[in-house]
Amino acid sequence: MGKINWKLWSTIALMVFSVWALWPSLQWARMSDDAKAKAEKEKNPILGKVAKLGLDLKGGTHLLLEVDSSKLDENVKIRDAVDRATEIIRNRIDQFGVAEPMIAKQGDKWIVIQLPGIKDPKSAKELIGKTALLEFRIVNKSAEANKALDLLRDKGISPEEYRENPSAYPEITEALPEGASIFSSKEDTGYYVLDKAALTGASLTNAKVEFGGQFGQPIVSIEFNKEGGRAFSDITERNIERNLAIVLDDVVQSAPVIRSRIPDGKAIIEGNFNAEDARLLATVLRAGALPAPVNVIEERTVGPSLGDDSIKKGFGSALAGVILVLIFMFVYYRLSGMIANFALVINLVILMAFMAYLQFTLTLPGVAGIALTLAMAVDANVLILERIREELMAGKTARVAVDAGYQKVFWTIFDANITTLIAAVFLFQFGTGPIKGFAVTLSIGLVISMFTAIVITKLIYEFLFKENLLLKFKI
Amino acid sequence: MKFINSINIDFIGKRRTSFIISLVILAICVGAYIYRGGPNYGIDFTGGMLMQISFEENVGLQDVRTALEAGGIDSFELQTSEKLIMIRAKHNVESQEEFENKAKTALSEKFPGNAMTVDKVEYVGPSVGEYLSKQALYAFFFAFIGIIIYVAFRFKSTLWGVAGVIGIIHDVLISFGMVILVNKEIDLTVIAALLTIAGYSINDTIVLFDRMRENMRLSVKEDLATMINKSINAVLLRTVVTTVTVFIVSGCLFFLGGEVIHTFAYIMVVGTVLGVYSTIFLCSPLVYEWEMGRRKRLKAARQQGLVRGK
Repeated sequence: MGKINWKLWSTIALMVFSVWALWPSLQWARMSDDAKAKAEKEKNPILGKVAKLGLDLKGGTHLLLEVDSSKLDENVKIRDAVDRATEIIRNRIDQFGVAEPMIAKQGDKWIVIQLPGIKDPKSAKELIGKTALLEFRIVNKSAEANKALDLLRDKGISPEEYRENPSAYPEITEALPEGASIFSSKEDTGYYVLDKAALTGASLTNAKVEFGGQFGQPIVSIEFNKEGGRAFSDITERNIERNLAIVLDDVVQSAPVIRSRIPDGKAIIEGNFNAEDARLLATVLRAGALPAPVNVIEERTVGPSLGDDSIKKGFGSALAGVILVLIFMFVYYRLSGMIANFALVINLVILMAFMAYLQFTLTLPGVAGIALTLAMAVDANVLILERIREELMAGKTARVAVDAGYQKVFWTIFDANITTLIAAVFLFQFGTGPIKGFAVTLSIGLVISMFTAIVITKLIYEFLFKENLLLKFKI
Repeated sequence: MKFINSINIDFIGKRRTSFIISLVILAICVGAYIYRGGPNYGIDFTGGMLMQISFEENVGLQDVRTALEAGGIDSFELQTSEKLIMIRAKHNVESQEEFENKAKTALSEKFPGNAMTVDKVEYVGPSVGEYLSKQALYAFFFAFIGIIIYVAFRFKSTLWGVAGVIGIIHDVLISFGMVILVNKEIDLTVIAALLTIAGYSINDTIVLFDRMRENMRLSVKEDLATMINKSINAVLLRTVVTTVTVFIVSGCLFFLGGEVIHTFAYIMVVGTVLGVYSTIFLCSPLVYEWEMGRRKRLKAARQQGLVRGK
C-alpha cells in the first residue's frame, strides 16, 4: 500500500505541475494574432511563462558579434569591454522594441544575440553595430596644424589612412601638435586638425530628436550630466571664438563657432540628418557608446514563411510517426501496449511542461531529441513487457510475473538511460546552437521517460491487480 | 502477438565473419571518402554564406546562375527546385552585406514582376566555423570518456566500457561514411543526427551488457560463449520490436518530413540498423575476445605461480 501511495502522489503532483506550467502556453495558443502582438508590446508577464520556440521554428535573426579588441583602449581589459558592450547592446535592443531578445556573452570576446520574429534584420544590425563614439574636440588652426594638413594633401592620403597607421607617416605625426589628429568631415568641407577629446558621449544623460534648425531639419539635442555640464561650461568659456567639432565615429558632424559660455550642459548636434538617421543616433547616444567596434561573424536569419512550411512538414511527420508507433504497440501488446502508450503520452506532456517552466527553447533538433526520448521510452516498455512475457512462460502467475519483470529490468533501463544522459550532458556543455537544443530535450526527456515508463505504468498494473480487473494476463 | 518463438543462434561462433563484414563496410566508407574527395562540409564548418530565396513563379537554374554571375558574384553553388533557390558560397565571402545586396539586386533585375522573399540567410565567419568544429569534437570526446567511466564503474570492467564506445565509434563513422556516399552536405543537423545515433547505439549495447551481467551472476560456471549467446538471444525479441518502432518514426520523417529533416531521417534509418548490428556483432564478440585473452593470461600467470588465487 505504502508503495502505491508514493507512486500515486508523485504522479498526481507531476500532473498538477504540468497543467499549471502549460496553462499559459495554452492560453497563448488560443489568443488571436492581434492580442499576441499587443501582449508583446506591453511586455505582458505571460510571455515569460509561454513555451519558447527557437528561431528555426518561428523565424528571426541570430547574430554572433566579435568585439574588435585591436581597437580597444590599452588600459581597458577585454573582459570589461565585452561586458560593457553586452550591456550597451542590450539597452539599444530594448529601445528598438524586440519581444524577448536574448543577449549573452559567449567565450572571451563574442556576444550572441537572438532576435525572434524580427522582420528587418538590417536596421537591427545597424543599430547594434554602431560604435557611436561621440567626442567634442577643439579645432586646431595653428601653423603646425596647417603644416600637417599640407603634408597630408601632398601625400594624397585621407585622414582615415593616416590614423590607421600613423607610424608610416612620421613627418605628419611630428608636425601635429601633442594629442591632436586629423579627421574628415561629413559635409566634405575639407579636413580638420582636432585637439584631443575634451569631452565624450560617456557624460551624456539624454539625447533626443528635435526638429529645429533653419529649415526645420532634424537635429539631435543632448544633455550632459553634472560633471559633463561643468566641463562643457569650462571648455566653452576658455575657447570663445574658436570652433568646437562634434565628432561621431571619427567623422566631424559639425564644427560651430563658440560664441559664448554654455552653462546649462545642453548642446545640439546638427549634421544634415534625415529623420531616421537622427532617431538612430539619439538611440545609440542614450544607450551609450560601444567601447570598441563589433563585427558580425555569424548570422542566421530565418524568414517566417520558411518556418511555416518546413516546420509543418517536420511536426506533421513526427506526429505521424508517433501515432503509428502507438498503433503498433497496441496491436502487438494489446492491453499492456495501451498502458505503455498512456505513459508515452504523459511523458510528452510532462516534457513540454518542464520545457515551458524552465524556459528552455524548443528548436528543430530539439524535436529530434524528443523523438529519441520517445524511442527510449518505448524501448523501456518493450524491455519490461518482454521480460514479463519470459516470466509468464516460466510459469509464474500474472502478478508475480509483472513484479519480477519490473524488478529485473529496472537496472537495465537505469544504466541505459544514464549512459545516454552522460552523453547528453556533455553535448549541452560543449554544444552550440542546434546541438544544445538537441541536448536539452534529450536530457530532460530521459529523466522523465524513466519515471513515466517505470513508475506510472507500474502504478496502473498495481491498480488493476488491486481492483481484480486483471485476472487473466496475456501479452 | 509474437514475432518469433524461442531462438538460439550462435552469434559468438560467427564473430570472424561479422568482424570481416564490419571491415568491408568501413572500407566502403573509406572508398566513398576518397571517391568524393573528402566530406562535403557545409558553411557551418567552412565558413561562408547561404541564401534561400523563394519566388512567386518558377525560375530556371541557368537564368539564376547567369543573373548572379552578371551581378558580380563568383564561385558559388546553386540549387533550384521550382520556385525555390539556394545560393551557397564557401570560404570566400568578404562582406556579408555586399553579397546579400548584390544577389538581391541581380535577381530582382533579372526577374522583374516575379516577387521574391528571402527565406533564410546564413553567414558564418571563418573563426566561427573553426569554433563550431572544435566544440563538436570536444562534445563527442568528453561524452565518450564519460560513457567509458560510467560503464566501467557499473560493469566493473573497463573492457566493457571500451567495447561499448568502439561500438558507438563504429556506428557514427559508418553513418558519416553513408552521408558522404550519397554526397549530402555535412552541417550541424548532420552532427545532431550522428549524436542521436551515438545515443541509440550505446543504449542498445547497455541493454545487452546488462543481460550478460545478470546471466554471469546466475551461472558462474557456464562457458563464456554460451552465456553471451544466451543473452543475445534473450534480448533479441526486444531488439527487434524496438528497432521496428524506431524505424516507423524515422520512416515517417524520411518520407513525409520535407527537405530539412531528410538527411536527419536518412542517418536515423542507417544508424538504427547499425546500432543493433554493432551491439550483437561487434561489442559482444569484442568483450568475448578480450575476456578470453585476459583469462588466458591470468591462467598462464597462475601456472607460473605469479598470482595466487582460486
